[in-house]
Amino acid sequence: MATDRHGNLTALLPRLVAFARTILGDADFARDLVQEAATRALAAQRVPDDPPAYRAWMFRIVRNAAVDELRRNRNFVSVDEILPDLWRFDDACIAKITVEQGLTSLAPAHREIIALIDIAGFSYSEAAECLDVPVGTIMSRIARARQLLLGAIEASTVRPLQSNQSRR
Amino acid sequence: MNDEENSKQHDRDLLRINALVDGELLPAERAQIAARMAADRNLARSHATLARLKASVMEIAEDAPCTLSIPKVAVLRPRQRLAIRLTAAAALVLAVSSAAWTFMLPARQQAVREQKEHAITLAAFPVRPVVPDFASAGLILQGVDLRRPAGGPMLVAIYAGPRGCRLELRVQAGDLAAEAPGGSSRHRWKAGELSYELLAFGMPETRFAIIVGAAERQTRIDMDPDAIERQLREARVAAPPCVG
Repeated sequence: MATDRHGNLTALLPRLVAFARTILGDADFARDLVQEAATRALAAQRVPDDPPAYRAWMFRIVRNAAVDELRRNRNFVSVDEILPDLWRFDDACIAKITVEQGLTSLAPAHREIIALIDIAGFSYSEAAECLDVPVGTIMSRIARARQLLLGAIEASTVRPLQSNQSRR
Repeated sequence: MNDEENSKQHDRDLLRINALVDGELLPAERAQIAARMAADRNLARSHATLARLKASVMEIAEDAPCTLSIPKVAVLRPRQRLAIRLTAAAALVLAVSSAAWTFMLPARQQAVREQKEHAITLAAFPVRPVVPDFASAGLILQGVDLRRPAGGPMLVAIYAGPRGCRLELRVQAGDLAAEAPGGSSRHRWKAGELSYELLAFGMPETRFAIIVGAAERQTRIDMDPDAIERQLREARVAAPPCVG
C-alpha cells in the first residue's frame, strides 16, 4: 500500500526541513519546499522499499528542489572567505546560534555539503552518489566547508551567552 | 620537513580529522591519526573544535520545529481524488445554498425566491459540470461558486498553489458569456453541452498549456486517470514557479 511505503516520512520531516533550511537559508521557504517534495513523493509510482534507500531518496528529492530554487533565485551575495587556524580557534564561539548565523554567510555549495553530511547524516559515499562526484571530493569539500564555517563564526559579531556555555 | 611538505601534511591531517569526526576512517586509519593526535596537541585541539562544530550543526536539525502534515490526499489514486473533489465541491455548493437560505436572507419570501434561484441554477446545467482535480500539479481547489451572469447560470471554481499560482475555472451551459476580466492566460473549450474556460493568474505559458490539456481530458467522459496524473505531475516539475 502507498501509505506503508511512506511510513518513515513523518519521522524524516523535521530533518528534511532543517536540511532544506540550511541549503536555502529561509525557514518558511524550506517548509513549503519540503511540503511540496513530500506531496510529490507520495504521488510517485516507484518508491524505494528499504528505509535507508527511502531516506536517501527523500533527501535527494528535497536537495534537487532546493538546488533548482537556488539556481532560479541567484540572490546570494558572496562574502570574503576566511580560513582560520583550527588549533587557535576559540571553541567557546561554537554554539547553535553562531553556527546558524555562520551558515547563512557561506556559499550555497558549502552549505549543501554540510547539510548533506551533518544534517541529512549521509555517509561520504552516499553524498558522493547524491552529488555525482568521487568520495575524495566529498572529503575535501566538507573539510573546506567546515573551515569556512569556522571562519564565518569567528568573523561574526554574534557570540553565545555564557550561561549557554556553562550548561555544555 | 620544509614548508611545502608541512603544508601538505597539514592538509592531509585536516581531511583525516574531518573523516574521523564523521566516522569515515577505517580502524587502521583511526589508530594512525589517534597516535598523531597524542603526539600533537594542535591536532587534538583541531579535532575537538571540529567535533564541537559538527555537534552544533546536528543540533540545528534536532531542534527544527516541524509543523508540516503529510498530505494524505496525495496517496489516493487520481480516480479517488477526483471523486473526493467533486463530493467536496457538491457539499460546498449545498452549504452555501443552505447558509444563504437559513441565515442571510431576512424575509421568508426572499428566502424562498433565492432557494428557487439556486434550484434553477443547478437544474439549468444539462449535464453535471466537472470540477477537475489539479492536486498533482500543486493546485488545490479553494472553493466553488454559483453565479448568474447574463448568459445563464455559471459555476466558478478557484484553485491556488503554494507559490502564488491561481486558476479560475468557469463552466456554463451552451456558449460562455463574455470573457472574464483579468488573467495572464486563458483557454476555452467545449465538452458536450457545457462550455469551459480556464484562466491563469501569473502562471507560465508552458505550465498552463499542460494543465489545460489535463483539464480538457478530465471533462471528457472517456478520461484516463493515469494519463491525467502523469500530465499534471509534468506540469508541476517542467516549468518555473508562478510569478503572480
